[in-house]
Amino acid sequence: MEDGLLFEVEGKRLCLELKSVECVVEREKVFFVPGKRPPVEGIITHRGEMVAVVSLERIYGTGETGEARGTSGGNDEGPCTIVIAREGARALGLSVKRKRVSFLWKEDFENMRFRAQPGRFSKGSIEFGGILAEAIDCLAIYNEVSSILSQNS
Amino acid sequence: MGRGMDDSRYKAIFLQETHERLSGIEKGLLELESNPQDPAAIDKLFRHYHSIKGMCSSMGYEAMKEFSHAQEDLLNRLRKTGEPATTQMISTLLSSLDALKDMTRRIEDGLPLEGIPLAPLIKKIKEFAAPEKITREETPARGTPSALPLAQGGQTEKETPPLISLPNIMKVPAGVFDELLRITGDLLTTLSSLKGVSARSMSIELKEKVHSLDNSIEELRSEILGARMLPFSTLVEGLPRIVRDISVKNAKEAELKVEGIEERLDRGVLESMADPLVHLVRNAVDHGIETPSIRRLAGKTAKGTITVGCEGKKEKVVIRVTDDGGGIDLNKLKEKAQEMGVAKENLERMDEKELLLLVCMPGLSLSLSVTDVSGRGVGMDIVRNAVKKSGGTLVVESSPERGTSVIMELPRSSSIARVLLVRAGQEVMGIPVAGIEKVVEVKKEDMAGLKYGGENIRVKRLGELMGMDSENGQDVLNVVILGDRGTGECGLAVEGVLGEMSAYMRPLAPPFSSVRGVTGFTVMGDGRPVFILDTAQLLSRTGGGISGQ
Repeated sequence: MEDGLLFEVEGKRLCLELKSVECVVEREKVFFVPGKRPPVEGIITHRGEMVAVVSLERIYGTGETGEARGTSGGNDEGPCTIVIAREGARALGLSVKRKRVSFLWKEDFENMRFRAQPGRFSKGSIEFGGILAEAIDCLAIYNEVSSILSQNS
Repeated sequence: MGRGMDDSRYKAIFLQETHERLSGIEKGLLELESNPQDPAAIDKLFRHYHSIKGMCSSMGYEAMKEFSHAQEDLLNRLRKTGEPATTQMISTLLSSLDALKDMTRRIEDGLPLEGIPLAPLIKKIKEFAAPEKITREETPARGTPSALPLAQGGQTEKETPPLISLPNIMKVPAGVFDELLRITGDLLTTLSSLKGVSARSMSIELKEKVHSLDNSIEELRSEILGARMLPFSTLVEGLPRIVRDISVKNAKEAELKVEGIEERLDRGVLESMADPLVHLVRNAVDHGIETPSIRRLAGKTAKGTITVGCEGKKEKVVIRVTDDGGGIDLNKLKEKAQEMGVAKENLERMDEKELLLLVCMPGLSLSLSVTDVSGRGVGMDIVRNAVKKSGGTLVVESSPERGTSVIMELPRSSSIARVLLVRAGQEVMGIPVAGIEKVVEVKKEDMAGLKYGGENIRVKRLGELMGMDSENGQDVLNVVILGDRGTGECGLAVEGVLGEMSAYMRPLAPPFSSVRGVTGFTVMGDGRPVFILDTAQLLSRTGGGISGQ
């Protein structure tokens, strides 16, 4: 595994390869998108492109914190850190809290063990330096977002 | 001067093409001079003269047609005999080229062609072209030609045109206009941001500059959109051949009629309609038009007619593909839809208009067999998606034994549109101005009995339609009255109207392609994405119209 990002969501550790990360942005507001429902939080624009934002809490945790932050329009208010993940033309915003994101360098993954146990949104688990983390499957999340947003069409 | 076809649009194309051909002739003659028996150079020159002759004929420039015809004859002779081009021949052709350039300039300036004495040049060309007149003593062309002076054609020194002149019409790749439009879109976004700054500022100078910038960008937008407009004829050129080929293959007789070829649409809209039109015309021949024997039995002419028409309606155009075939069998359509998984009770609730749109279901085909032309049930799905992507609406009409019409209402230009920014709940949405009749302020309690033009208006909250909780206790709402096709006037109640703007419409890409009720989005100066609503789709959400409160 190359460099990566480590998130902590409700005590659960999640890992994303850095090569899938386009950038990390901070936004005041995530905007409404018709047909949204959890885990889709809304949309932001990034370099002129519209990007769907999903709540990692909703996907990998209980999502209660996310719910508490909801507004009348169902949007999250206040600054929000969003990791823009990209695979080809498919871009996805992963909504996280800054304090929960840390970089992992290649060296951190020395003696890493990867167990391929694909879950609904997980490629498997990795274990390194006494840490166990779930490997985020961005494509699976993206497909879920597509499915949600086209369900009312 | 030219006859019927000589309007400015054709003239512009003629001039552009002729300039290119004349440049090609100049280059070709010089090549031929270096290599007087080069068959490739002779062929190329022949094609240039032939094209000019053909274009002149279409435009009615008889004198120029005859003149280029004479030169074509000479090239034809060289091509057939393999004789070398002599210096005198090249010189005469170069002088003739100058005369052709002069004629082209006169056409450009709207001057008559009759004033140019071409007879001496034509006489000389004909002498070269007639085999008995070609003398063996003439030496093949070599070195620098000494072209006959144009004065031979009777021009005075004062009228001598510049030796190097650039054409007034340029050919540029279509992508340049896409890029210009994108940049204009970015300018509009920046302008929107500046307007915000200006509104908060006390500086009169800033306000004036922003106003001036607004005017300039609007002018730029209008010029670019104008430059991107192409006539409908460019889209339908290939259709007669398709009709002919499929008719022959299916032992059918069909003719294609095209109406409204002069209507102009944005290149992007035309491009998006290319595949759908091919599918519709194929379907019309393959499924719509019956075989001659069946048609005769039904009391129709053996030859079926497919009509492709384009009609302008302010900012929109309606493209209609109609056939006089057997029509769609609604019962068979229902059966097929049920096989595809549509519940019987849903089918029973649908009116004829909704049922006919089932032909667009992916995989649904009424064809008994799969051919290389159709029958896989993908064609109409492609049509529907293309229309949706262009921000248009699709209607299918059909009568048994009388035929089927597919009607596509599209924006004339899909890239930059005037939109009304409205507030639904906390969100800002854009409604295309083209579909708006009026905006009125209405008290909440008066909403149910709202009338417009003497008719009751069915009003629904936009926020509710978009699936957001927008109820905020506001007593007075704005109602945007929409003139919707087929469903009468309807109203969208919004929490506020923020103003009108020119929006650069970005298409919805995955994963947003199928989001209902929106046709695209734009980005405001502050980075906020604003969805542009597909009001027709929103209205159809509640069964062909909006229900009352």
